[in-house]
Amino acid sequence: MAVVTALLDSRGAAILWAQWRTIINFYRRPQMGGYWFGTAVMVIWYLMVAGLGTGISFALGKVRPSEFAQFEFVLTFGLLAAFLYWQVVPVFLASTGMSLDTRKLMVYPVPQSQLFLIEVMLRFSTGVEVLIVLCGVFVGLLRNPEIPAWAPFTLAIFVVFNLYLSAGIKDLIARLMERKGLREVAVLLMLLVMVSPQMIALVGLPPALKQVVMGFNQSTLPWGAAAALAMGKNVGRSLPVVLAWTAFAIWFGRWQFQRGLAFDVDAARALSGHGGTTSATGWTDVLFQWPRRLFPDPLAALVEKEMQSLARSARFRLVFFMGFTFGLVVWLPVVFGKAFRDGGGASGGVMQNNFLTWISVYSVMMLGEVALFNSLGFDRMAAQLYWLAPVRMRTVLLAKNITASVYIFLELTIICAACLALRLPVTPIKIAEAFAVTAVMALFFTGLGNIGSIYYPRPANSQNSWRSRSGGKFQVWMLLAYPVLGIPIGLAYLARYAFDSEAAFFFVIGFDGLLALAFYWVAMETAERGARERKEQILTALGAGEGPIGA
Amino acid sequence: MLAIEIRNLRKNYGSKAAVDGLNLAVPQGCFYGFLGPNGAGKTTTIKMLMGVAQPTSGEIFLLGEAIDPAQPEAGLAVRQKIGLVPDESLLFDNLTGPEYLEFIARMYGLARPMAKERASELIEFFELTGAGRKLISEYSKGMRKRVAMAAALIHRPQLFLMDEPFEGVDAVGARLMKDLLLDLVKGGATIFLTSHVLEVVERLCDRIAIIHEGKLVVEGTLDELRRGGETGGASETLEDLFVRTVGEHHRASTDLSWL
Repeated sequence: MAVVTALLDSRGAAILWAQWRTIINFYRRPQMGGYWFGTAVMVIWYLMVAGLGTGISFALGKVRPSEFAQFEFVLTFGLLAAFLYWQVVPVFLASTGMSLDTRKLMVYPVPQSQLFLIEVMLRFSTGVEVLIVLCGVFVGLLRNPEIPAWAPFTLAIFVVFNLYLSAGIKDLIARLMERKGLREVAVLLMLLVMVSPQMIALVGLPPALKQVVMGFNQSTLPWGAAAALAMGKNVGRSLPVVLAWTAFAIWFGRWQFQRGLAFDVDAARALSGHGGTTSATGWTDVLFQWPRRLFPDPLAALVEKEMQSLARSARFRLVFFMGFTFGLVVWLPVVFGKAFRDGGGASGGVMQNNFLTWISVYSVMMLGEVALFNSLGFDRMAAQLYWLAPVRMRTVLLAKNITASVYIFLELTIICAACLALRLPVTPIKIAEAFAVTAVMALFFTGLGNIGSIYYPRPANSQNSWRSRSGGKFQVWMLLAYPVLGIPIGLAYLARYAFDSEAAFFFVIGFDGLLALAFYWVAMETAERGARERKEQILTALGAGEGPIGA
Repeated sequence: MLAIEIRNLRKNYGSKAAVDGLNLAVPQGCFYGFLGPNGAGKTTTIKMLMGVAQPTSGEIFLLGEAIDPAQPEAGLAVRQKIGLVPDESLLFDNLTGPEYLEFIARMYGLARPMAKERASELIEFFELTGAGRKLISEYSKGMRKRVAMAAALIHRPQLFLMDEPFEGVDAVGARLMKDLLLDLVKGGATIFLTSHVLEVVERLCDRIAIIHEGKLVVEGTLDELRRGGETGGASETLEDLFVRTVGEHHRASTDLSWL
């Protein structure tokens, strides 16, 4: 009742309206390629989700009693996945600006109790995909004659549990994000938690362990108990578990929301060293001073500045760490899952044999947007200086490219070390292959990135871990460029397959390297010419919004 | 009656006191300038007045009502009478200017038609019509300040709390805003503002407070402050007075000798 009152109140309605406008505005932003592109993306996405929901409803309607044990296992992990999605997505949306920040409303005459209920209701809008899929589950269970008709309705309790918990988790993570040391750790933990169902599903569990896990899930965890309850099983045990978790979620959500309102961002930043001096002393000094031993100024000064500013950017640090941690966590079970599950060891198969190269390419692509494709956007405070100082744009771009290459190869070295530590089948020839492919790909990407940085510059916040302002047009362009640039590398693999020879592979990849160098040179010429001709457009684009070079 | 009363206000960030035992009394109908060098505690003080930051200790009274962070619901009635020009981070970046104004008006309980009408009038008055369909995230700094100022006015408050309202605003826009603020004070409203533009404060404010390192250093009318100094006198500008008050940095003859 209180929820209804809060929403019918004019302030409640205004907040929901503002959230609606925020979502609509987010999709119609010019950086996304205009209203229709955004709308098309949204429609396709929700059609896919609706298709999934419909498929689930048909599949569940036909599950026979003999399949119930397997079905309960799937439903349990399905609800776990739904739970994780619902808890993590609001944080992503909040950082993209798509979710209304209710904390900003505390300066207005809105009661906190009403704000909390509205915050809970706003969680509906951040879990629409889950709701659609859960509707599919609900309809499927309802259609199944073997399941009691009342049972699917208990999914509503699971929804309430998620809504309240999500409100609390969002506030908790938002506060963690403001603490410098904890931000990357929090994001990594979130991602690891997100991929855990995928890992379990891919690697699978031995039957004995599965029994233990299922028993534990049902007796203690909300998704397990909710799955059993939705099938009408073990009501006496599952119902109290689900209700207890829901009561906990309501308490936790309210507690965290109030802590969030009382949270002082400035205090947190002051305590975690934000805004203070970031003095590079001792070994970090040495770490960032190597360019002056290799290059003349101003190139050396530019590379040093790039090395330092990238290392201090929260967004770069995040993608750098994700490159080898998330990359390993996602691709390891995908590639070796079946082999481990079957006890067959980790060898054989195209994916397994090329695991190192695969993960290296993945990490280069991860670093792409931050270090290559929009290099002026993440550095927009300095952008004006590049045209004012007596330095050629070619030197600036070269410095950015050298820095990106250093980080890319540092990442690759870490990945190799991690693979060796995990005793994965990594031979010297595989390491050489990974380095060669990454070098060729990085050269192609830096050339492409230099053109993108000059012709499609977008303002970006280097301290924001998630927010991306990639241009829709440039993303489409990149989508087309990936397969084209991949052809030379594909030819090297084709040569190895055709001649059954590593030498053939390295001969072609060597030739690819020369081709990539030529491409890089042409791209650099194009970018430098573009930088001369498009100075004003570039600075205007980078100055959009509240920026240091804004009007 | 006092519009703002601050008693022994303190705000600590770790071991550092951003505001250190501040006492202020701002009469109603006063145009009050709150000055200080960077890091003096101006924004922290105004954030505590707005309710965005919680004081470590001390008391705040707005329009005669105590603002108790432990009982936020109790201060709702008084918030209805306050207009805010906050730090930019409190704007909703993914709304357009008119949408933002309509939303804020409805937050103050205005009916939707009236909210829409006033939003439209304010957009026109602050010369933001051309940016009507632009998102606030795409606004320049000056435009963001103008839309924040418009939002502060939309519900006809009695007390205004303004953090650097003229920052980034062009001369024409600033003149428009200054004239409007003077009219509001003539009509009985109270304005409490922080600004680094000392000429603006000198021209507009009835009373001025200068804080330094979280502590109130001087407070009074401009004439009172001038009389309080050993140097200067009636012709002393606010800039001279300010520099004298917070401490002057003299360049030694050896500093930057290569220049």
